Amino acid sequence: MENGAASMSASDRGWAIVGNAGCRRVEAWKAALARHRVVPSHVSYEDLLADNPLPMTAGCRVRLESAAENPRTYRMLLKLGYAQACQNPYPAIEPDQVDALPCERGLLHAPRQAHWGFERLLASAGALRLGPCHYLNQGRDIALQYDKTATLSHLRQNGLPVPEFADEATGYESIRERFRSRGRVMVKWRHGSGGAGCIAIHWSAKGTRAFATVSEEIKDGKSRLYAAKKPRYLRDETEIAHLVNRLACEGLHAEAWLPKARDQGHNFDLRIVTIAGKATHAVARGSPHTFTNLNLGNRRLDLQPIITKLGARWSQILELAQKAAACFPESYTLGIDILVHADLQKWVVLEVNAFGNQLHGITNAQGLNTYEAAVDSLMTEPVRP
Amino acid sequence: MTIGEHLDEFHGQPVVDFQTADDWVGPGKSYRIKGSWEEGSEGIGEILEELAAVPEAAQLKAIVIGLWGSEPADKATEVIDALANLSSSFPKLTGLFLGDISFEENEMSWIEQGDVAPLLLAYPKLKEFWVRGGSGLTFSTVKNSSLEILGIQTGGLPRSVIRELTRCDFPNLKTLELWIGDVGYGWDGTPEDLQPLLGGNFFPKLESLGICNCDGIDEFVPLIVNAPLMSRLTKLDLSKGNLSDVGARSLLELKRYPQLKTLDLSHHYLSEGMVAQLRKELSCEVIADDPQEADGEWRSIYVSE
Repeated sequence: MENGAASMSASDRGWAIVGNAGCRRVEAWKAALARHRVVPSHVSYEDLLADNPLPMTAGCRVRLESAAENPRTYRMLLKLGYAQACQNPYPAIEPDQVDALPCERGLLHAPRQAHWGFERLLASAGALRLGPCHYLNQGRDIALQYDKTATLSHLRQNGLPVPEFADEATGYESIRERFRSRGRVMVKWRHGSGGAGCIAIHWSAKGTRAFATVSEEIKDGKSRLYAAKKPRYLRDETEIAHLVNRLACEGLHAEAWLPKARDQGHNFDLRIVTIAGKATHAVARGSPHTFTNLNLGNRRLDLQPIITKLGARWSQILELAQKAAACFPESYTLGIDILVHADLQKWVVLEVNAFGNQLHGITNAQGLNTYEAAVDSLMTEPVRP
Repeated sequence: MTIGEHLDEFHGQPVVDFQTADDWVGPGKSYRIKGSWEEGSEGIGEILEELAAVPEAAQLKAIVIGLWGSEPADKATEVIDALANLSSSFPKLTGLFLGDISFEENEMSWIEQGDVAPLLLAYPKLKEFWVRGGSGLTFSTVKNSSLEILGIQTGGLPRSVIRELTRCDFPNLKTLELWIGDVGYGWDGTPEDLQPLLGGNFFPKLESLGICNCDGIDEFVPLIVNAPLMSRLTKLDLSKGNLSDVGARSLLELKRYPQLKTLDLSHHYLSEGMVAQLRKELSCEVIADDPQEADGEWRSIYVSE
């Protein structure tokens, strides 16, 4: 049970949170642990990557947190991913150019190279640096969850409903061939998060159109990708194909674009947090458009009317979230995204988010936020064998 | 800009989605029946029958029809026929919106409309009728003595629809709103196509005219302000277009019509000075919300696909 569960109580061995300094997720874990008078060690990704001594005891509990939202960590990941990027047909950024990259709002530098860096970090960090610890989430689970195609494939193999998806999406032509008869497809970055790099395409006998959360700009002869604050509308198939193919080197995932259920005047999907396999917290993410995970114009909906409307189906949806979590037994807490079809009669798992338990201001029936509930659950119950 | 949202309110009532009989919350709502792009138009007829089977449906005043599929094969005709055939179940229906379809569901100019005359005949008490989408839209030649409000929202209006309207008999029509759109998306006319309508020989009770979402509205304005119809309008709505100071100068002549109460120019490209001058010289209320800024020479209209 080296990397698995504990029979000792959760507080007596020490805790370590691996994440960026100042990260709200790290602070949330600290606050949740403080309620039990536990002060966790904080291991920054910089320390982990820079071979600095780590302030933690062997055998402690470790929570790996998101490496996102920190430009310095991002640059380190780009460097770490360089070797892998060179083995692929990919416009790799050389390590000595990384520090000179411009810092600009919305500018997306080589997301796949950073992802390769993150994968390498996950594969190496635990085994080489952290030693035999008790992980709340395992690197191999996280790596799988950061691959949308592999995640859906894994869920489907376990008999769970997911959107129809392509096993491989290499570029516009192959996606068109696969999905044209359905009329609509949602193309995403295979390793993306937070709604970046998505293109929703609609083919009709009258033409082709698309909504994209990403744009390409040519500056000084170089192609750059920018995250769009609101969906851009494209109406020229050549332009759409070009953008899809431009994104393709970052790795694509293509799935059926399904109509989302509506409530309170918005499309919505559900983010359900699971802790120790149980669905504990949920939010309905509402949007005037299909991208419910963009920041602009989106808002949380009041969940109660939705639960009321769904009636007995609500518990079936929670059960689906729990089944999805059960497909990742080495992840103690997860954020499961579930799409309820516009007809309210069907639902599918869209994504499994390794760090998806961050839900501001949402508490369970006991008044605990997701971090408090996870910590309390670990403190009071023996973890699954 | 585009229409991203569905209707919250229609015919003076909140809109409630109706998918099954469980969604019924009494007759004081406007119920929206919609399919999705997954099912096409097939499901709508069944949902309409379920609505008709609700015991209190006979009290229902308004229905909103949403998406009926987004492929050209998904014609409005099936929905129109299904609703027309159920008219005995909805004897009190006075409000109908055909095509509450958001931009994401379908582009406005791709919405496949059909001949709406069967609805205007099957529901003789209809007072308010809105239709969205100009492609395939026709009115045939129809009479409806109750109709007071008619709105046609398009990204490009076929001129044939304007001609057909002048052949229709709507003796009680008070409000007419036409979204002209632009030539890229189905508008195939010129300002002169409005001449018969503006002559004032049709719709004797018409008092509110909207020429909306109109590309090149500047060129329509001189015709409108000099039209015989103007002398009985209390409201002129030129909103959602790309009005500039050029067109607005002609609007100063509206001072000749003391009965005009409201002029709506919202979504415009006017200078502040021109808005101030209009407000100073005209006795009517001048609504000039949502000012736009031209993108170089380009002035886009509200629904500019």
